Amino acid sequence: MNIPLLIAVLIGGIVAGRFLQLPIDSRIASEWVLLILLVLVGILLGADRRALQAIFRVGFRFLLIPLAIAAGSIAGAAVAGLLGGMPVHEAAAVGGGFGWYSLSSVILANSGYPQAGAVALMSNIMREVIALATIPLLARKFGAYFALAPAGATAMDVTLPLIVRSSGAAVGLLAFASGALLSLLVPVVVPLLVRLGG
Amino acid sequence: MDMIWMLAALLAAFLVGLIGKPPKRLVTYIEYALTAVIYFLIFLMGYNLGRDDMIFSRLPQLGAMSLAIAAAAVIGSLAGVFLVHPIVGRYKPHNEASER
Repeated sequence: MNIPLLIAVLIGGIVAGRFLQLPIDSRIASEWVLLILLVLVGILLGADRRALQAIFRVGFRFLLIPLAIAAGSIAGAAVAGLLGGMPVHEAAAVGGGFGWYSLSSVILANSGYPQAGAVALMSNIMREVIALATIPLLARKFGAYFALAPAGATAMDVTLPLIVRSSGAAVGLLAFASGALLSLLVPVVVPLLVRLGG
Repeated sequence: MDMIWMLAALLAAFLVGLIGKPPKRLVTYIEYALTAVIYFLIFLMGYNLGRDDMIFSRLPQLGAMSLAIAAAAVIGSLAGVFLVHPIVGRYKPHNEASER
């Protein structure tokens, strides 16, 4: 995804929403488009055998790392929501985006949570920026596992080159496996968490 | 639409991708389609935000909340890794390293 283009499209949408009356019932349209989106994401994640191969090769005990990243992200986001006055289940769902801002935001916005969708977009873009800024230091001071934490789902694509450069080529497989598992979890945990609030 | 159907569709699609082994060219087309769908949904999201005066006027607060959640999620994930990394043990890349 190209962040400048994405922000341009978003701003275009906001301007259209302020000044135009489009002849669509956007709520109903978006529900069906969301279904199409999930089907496309599912096929792509299933067809990418590198993810499953990586997970098999690094061993199942390693899966504790991405699972801990998932649990920690959701818990941290829930605490931030609690302190900041955002409904906890919505904040937790935003944290469950694990840095995959496009998918988490559209799932939330199209599940009837437009405000959480906006927060998911901004928050997960910020997470990616934080990851890019902190990975080299984390890798050097604390080791490769800690470099995978801020990266979240992006460890399989956007932040993968930086992780490899900071921790060595051997860590690439781990980073890919962690990012792939977290990516698989995004379309499952985001809708589940946000529904916890009823 | 019930969320169960969304998750069922996701799982079914995952299995189709896993078992069906779509050819590389089809995967490329699906990636293009996904990108187009995401941009369309982002546009719709903006459209709904623009029409919603309440959210529109609260964008600065929502931005601050976003930053707080991003920072808290990163800190939480680091804490999670800190807790489990002794169980996982050091990663010894002996096999992978010698294969390359």
